[in-house]
Amino acid sequence: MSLLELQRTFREALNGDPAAIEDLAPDAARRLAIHKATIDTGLSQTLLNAFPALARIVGAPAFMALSSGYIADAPPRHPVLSTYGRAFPAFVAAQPIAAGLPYLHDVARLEWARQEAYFAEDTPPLDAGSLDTSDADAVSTLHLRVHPAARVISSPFPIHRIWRVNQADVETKDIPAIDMKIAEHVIVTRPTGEIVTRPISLADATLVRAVQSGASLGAAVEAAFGIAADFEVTRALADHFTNGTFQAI
Amino acid sequence: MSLARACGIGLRSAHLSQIAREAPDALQTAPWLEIHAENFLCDGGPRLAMLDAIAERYPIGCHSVALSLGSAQGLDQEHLARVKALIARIKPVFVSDHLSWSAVDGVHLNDLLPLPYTEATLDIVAANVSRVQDAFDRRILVENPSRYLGLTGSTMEEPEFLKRLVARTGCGLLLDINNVHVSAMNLGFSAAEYLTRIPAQMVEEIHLAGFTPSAEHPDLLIDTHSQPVADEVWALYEATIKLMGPRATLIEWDADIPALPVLAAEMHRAQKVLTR
Repeated sequence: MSLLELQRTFREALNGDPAAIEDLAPDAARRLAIHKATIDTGLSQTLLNAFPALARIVGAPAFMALSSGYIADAPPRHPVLSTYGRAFPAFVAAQPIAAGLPYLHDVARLEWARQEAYFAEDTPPLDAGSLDTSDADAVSTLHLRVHPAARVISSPFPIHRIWRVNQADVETKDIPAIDMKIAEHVIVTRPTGEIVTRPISLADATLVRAVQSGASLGAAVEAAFGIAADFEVTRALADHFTNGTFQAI
Repeated sequence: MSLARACGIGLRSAHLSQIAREAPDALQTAPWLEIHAENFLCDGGPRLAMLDAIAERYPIGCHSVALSLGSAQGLDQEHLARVKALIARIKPVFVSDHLSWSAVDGVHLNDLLPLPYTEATLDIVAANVSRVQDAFDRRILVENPSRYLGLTGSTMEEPEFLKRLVARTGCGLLLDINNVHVSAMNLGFSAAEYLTRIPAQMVEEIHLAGFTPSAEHPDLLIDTHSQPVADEVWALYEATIKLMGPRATLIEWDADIPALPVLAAEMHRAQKVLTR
């Protein structure tokens, strides 16, 4: 057997048929199980690190079942584990448990946005001080670029509240009742070394998405006003400058 | 700076921000630190920034766990390029990976899987090690893995395989004493004899770590890196240093990571052995 054949057989055996390598090593089944456990424990821990709120919402046994299913369905195709879990939100959304927890997919998307934000490229954010706001016309024609760490997640559910109360520092008994009919939009940014996760209005989310798709700042603000006539543009932009939504010019 | 008499510790994310902020008291005598390369292969962000700060104050070893030097299908070129960029960034004192494989048909199995020690395997591993050394433009160290399976068909034992790999590629060896002990117990060979068969001049670095007996099968030891270094491993370490002379040593702890003073105590114990 060539080394490639052996490696393919080994993989098959790890996927659930230890008999496949019985001829390749004495006492193979229980010894292979050690490798299998190392792989599964490592990958489950990787998913747990990336999706702690999701794990808390569904509970440890259900999370273990979800991660085992995902590991079997979508093993890593990249050697860097911080990229493992990108398709986990979609996988979770397709599982029976998501039927009773319709917000699960969006909470998971929010957690993955935070994961990507943490590892995104370094580039200085745009702060208010570096923008000359005295010439309104000039400002409105600016084409800003969204910072590589910034991500907007929109949901028909109050995902920021759900995510927030499922942080490790919130006692389960202190979790308030949440009105599930509220839609929330969340922006994730990384102005300094810390990830900022804050809810924004639909109008504000529309502004960021317009900038993202190449609109001038003026056109993006117009789009936001199209959503909400009372959009507080000055305050929204100030928050974006404080929290690093855009790249420095 | 010569690290031959130096014992450092593995730098893990649990301690990253503390060590990046200040030199902690517990690490006053830490001469070097080692990272897992794959934990820092990202575009940017705080983790990489903390590593930059730490690399200004400590010599860093760059230990990979996913080059998959034993892959029959060769190396992942993009991954090589990423590790190369990290090497350029932190200028490590050592670059290493394992005598094992992880990737087949594009799937990464996230463990250090065993190889049969045959001529054909030697050809493949030697070609891969040479390509890594060419890509990095430097010598790498290859580490003996913890083994659980004694693959049939091996025509040579691990020390001989490593010796011939060194002769073929000019790589150095990273001798993990805990892995020698774990493999010896699991596969039924003498760790002490194994160590006498590893040529001293090829060993540039030594790893020490803790193992855990399998809960289901207590006759099998698992290389968990979640425990203090075991007494048997300390004894083997002392014998190795007596045999080979002092070598740069590293305390590795990867799971259930304790506070820095616990790691420092292990480090001090090894430093005493090195300066005896």
